[in-house]
Amino acid sequence: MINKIGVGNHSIFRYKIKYTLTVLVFSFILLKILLNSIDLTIESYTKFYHYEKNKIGYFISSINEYDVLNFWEISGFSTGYGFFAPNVSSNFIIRHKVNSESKDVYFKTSEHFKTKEGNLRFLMLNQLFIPLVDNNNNKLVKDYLTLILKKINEYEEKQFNNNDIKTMLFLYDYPNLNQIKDSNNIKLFKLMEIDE
Amino acid sequence: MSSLKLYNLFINERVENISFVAFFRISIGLFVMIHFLSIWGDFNTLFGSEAIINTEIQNINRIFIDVTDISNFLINNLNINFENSILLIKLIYLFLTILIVIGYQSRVSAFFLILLHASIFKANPLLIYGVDYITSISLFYIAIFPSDSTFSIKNLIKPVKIDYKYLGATKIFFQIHISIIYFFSGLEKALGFNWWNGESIWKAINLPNFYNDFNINYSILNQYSFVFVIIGISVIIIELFYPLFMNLRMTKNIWLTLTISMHLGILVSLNLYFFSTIMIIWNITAYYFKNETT
Repeated sequence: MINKIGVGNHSIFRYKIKYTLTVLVFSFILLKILLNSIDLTIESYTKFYHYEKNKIGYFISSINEYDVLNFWEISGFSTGYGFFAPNVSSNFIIRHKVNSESKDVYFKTSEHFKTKEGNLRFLMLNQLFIPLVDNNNNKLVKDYLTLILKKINEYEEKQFNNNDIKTMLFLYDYPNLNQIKDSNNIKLFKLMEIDE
Repeated sequence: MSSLKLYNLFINERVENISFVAFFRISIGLFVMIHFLSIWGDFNTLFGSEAIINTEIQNINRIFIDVTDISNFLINNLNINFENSILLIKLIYLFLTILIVIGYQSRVSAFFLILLHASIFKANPLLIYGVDYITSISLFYIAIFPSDSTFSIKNLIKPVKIDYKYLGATKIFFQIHISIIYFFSGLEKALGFNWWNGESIWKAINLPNFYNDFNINYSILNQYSFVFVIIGISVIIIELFYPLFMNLRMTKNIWLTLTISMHLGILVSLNLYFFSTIMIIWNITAYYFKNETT
């Protein structure tokens, strides 16, 4: 269905104004998308390599932060596009231990989910725990992560009607391309434990 | 070439193929519907006040009202219980996607769906990923495209007058946006080091939290690490040079094929079905439908 461009029946002047405004609005949104992408790329790069942002970086961030009625956030334009970048990040596993008289039971939170997509969404939580392996000593961050794990622990205790459940967070360490030739042993490093 | 000539080349003399609008509207409508249905059984576990990590903790920044606020509103005003309020929210979400698919008031429906989508997903930022942002942006585009102008119920009832100049502008806007997405995606990967030495690919396919529905045995590739290096560098090249080669007539089809192949590879290896699908939809919308310049 290919048709030629037509101007329509509007008065030429009103139409030109409307069209000019449309192009201006689109251009403004594109500029914001570009600015946001530059800002988040700089942020990602400096965070990854532990560099300090320069004045230009801070200036771009200060402009990019501005949001009216959370429009950029709600519309999705505030997102970055560095998927699996700069590197594929580390992964974590949350495991639980139910202490019982007969036998301790281990399971993962993800076993609760009925759907694969639900499980996948829960596992996106992983990104939250990166600061634990990033030498980030921010107490507020650690307290927040502890709170998250406590909430998960509370949920499990409610599900099992059992107050004696331990929640543990592990860093999943899979051998890299050089190491795999010698051994395929996966290592789990315990990072946090919640027992209340 | 003066700016006026450039303007005329891209806007006035552009013969636009309107099919991309219908394709995008119907595909995204179906996608959003199916994606939402895929978490139907886990909705209460993921979102709301009884979720595994309740919304009150996740929505600290109060970006927008969340599903608990909407549920309380319905409970107080319609005199229904909590379960029915959540069911009503879910049904409203699905109803809006149906309106988009059939093309009846799809732009208005997309607008309201963006808000509902934000209250469910954006209000729970710990449990969302890239596909949710791209979904919001897609709904925004449905709201600004002349979405009901073709293959729609609205057009059947009363033919919609098409402003082709506006159509051309929105398509260019969309193409520039997708080019920015891929360029920065490629740039960020290029700034890391694991995409150059194959470790990123190796790590991604061995992440513990992704599925392996096709039971692919990657261990046979252990001895051929150069394969991962080639794939990693190819991904960088496809993304980084997307804005250039997608907009050259000679290379457009090849690059479109490479990009879609890349997303199919992600779908097969990481089982990120929804993310891969929506990006394929975006690519087809932006560059598959031919238009001619006179």
